[in-house]
Amino acid sequence: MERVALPLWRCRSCGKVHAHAAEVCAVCLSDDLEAFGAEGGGVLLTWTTIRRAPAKFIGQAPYQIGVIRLPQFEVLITGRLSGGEPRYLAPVVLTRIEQSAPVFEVGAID
Amino acid sequence: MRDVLVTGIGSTAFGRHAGTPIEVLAVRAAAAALKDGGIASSEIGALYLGNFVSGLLNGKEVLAGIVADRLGLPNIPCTKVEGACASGGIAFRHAWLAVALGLCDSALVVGAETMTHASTAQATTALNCALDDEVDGKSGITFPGLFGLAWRAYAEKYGLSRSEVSAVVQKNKGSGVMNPLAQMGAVVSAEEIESSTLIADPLRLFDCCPMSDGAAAVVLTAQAHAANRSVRVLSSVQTRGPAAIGGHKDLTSFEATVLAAARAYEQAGITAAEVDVVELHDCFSIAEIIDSEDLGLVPRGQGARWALEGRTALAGDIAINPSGGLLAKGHPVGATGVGQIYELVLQLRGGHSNQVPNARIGMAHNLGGTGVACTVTLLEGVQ
Repeated sequence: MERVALPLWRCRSCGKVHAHAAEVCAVCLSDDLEAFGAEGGGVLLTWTTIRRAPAKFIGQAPYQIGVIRLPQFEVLITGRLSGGEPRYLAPVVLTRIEQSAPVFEVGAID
Repeated sequence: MRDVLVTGIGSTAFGRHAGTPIEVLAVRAAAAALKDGGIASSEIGALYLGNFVSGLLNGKEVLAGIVADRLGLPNIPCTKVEGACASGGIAFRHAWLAVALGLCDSALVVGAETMTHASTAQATTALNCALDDEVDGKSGITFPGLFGLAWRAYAEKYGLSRSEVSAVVQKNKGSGVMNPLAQMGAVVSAEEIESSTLIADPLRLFDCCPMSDGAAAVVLTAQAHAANRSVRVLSSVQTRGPAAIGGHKDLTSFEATVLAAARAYEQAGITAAEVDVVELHDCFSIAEIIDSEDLGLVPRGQGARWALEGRTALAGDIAINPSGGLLAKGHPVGATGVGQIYELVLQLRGGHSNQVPNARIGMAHNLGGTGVACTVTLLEGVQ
């Protein structure tokens, strides 16, 4: 399975990791944030299947979206799901970034 | 702070108003509220108008000024406020602040929205403006999708059966039958609900509020200047919560609601047990279960069971959404929070079509976006 690193942002002043790009750190207001690629997978907390999509995604429906926890960074990410049947606490890995949205593959049952 | 009373109420029906411009609906509701309260346009010192997407769906902005002009209001401050689905509640709160702080003696609150002329894709796109597009929107998530995520998170944490969620739909659709303003009152079977089209799994069509047009209005007046003293504002609170889906700990609770309710009880000097009737933000069936717990009305993890056992019905422990709620009354987004106040005032005056016997304390809860904006209002009927 192909893996890519997930882009996250770390405040160089207080160390807080943020799930998305920001002008300033929402903890300490420092503007010294660095982007880095987070390695390793996450776990699936919850998921849904979108059957009525907004106009710009309408040709893609139905598609699955999940909330993924990255345990090592204490952040939650909203992303697309692909691969196996979603289940609670399933391991997921980031396989690509599509139109700036992360796509996570749900691992097979061990 | 001065004591503030709700002295006039007005509303259009919620539903389809094909071809009727949004400002016409707003003026109808506002004029009805002024007449109900016996208040002249010249007595109004401020107007706050709640609206979400009139710019996008109608190409119309400055609605507050347009509506004031058509009502012949004085040259007073007229302000449109936006907080997604909480726009109406926020308009109410700002009008309350203006009167309570003594900036004016009477203020008019209007909420208005027209949506039914838009296609599902257009309306979904417009509603998605209430998401942080850079963070969550790029995934293709929708609001039904957010509550599909919440449903599964709640089910994992507390256990949840389809029939428990269907009980919420049946209760609210059933209450809507008696409400003359409701868009979609109906007696529906569990089978109809559970075989309706999937929208965002596990949410089906009957779990979702409809697209609606409508307007509602109330007049707030300082106690010393009020002729009609039947309903008093005990507290009016506004909070914010996480703007990103991932900002919530687990989607089984909305922090903004929990905080707003706690502050509202504290400011009013009452407890949840004293509330007799509640209009809360059931944009989706699962939302009512979560909201009822967040507001402290039902113990954590028991919202679904209480719904199934009828404990949140008109004759239950706590009457939740006797208007039919958003699910049955409809959800003209900017009007919803003001419409909730309208319903509660009828209850506290003792004249609602689904009257809660001896209702004295009413609670309104309006939640916007991904739980990013919330208002909670407590009202007291003074007999």
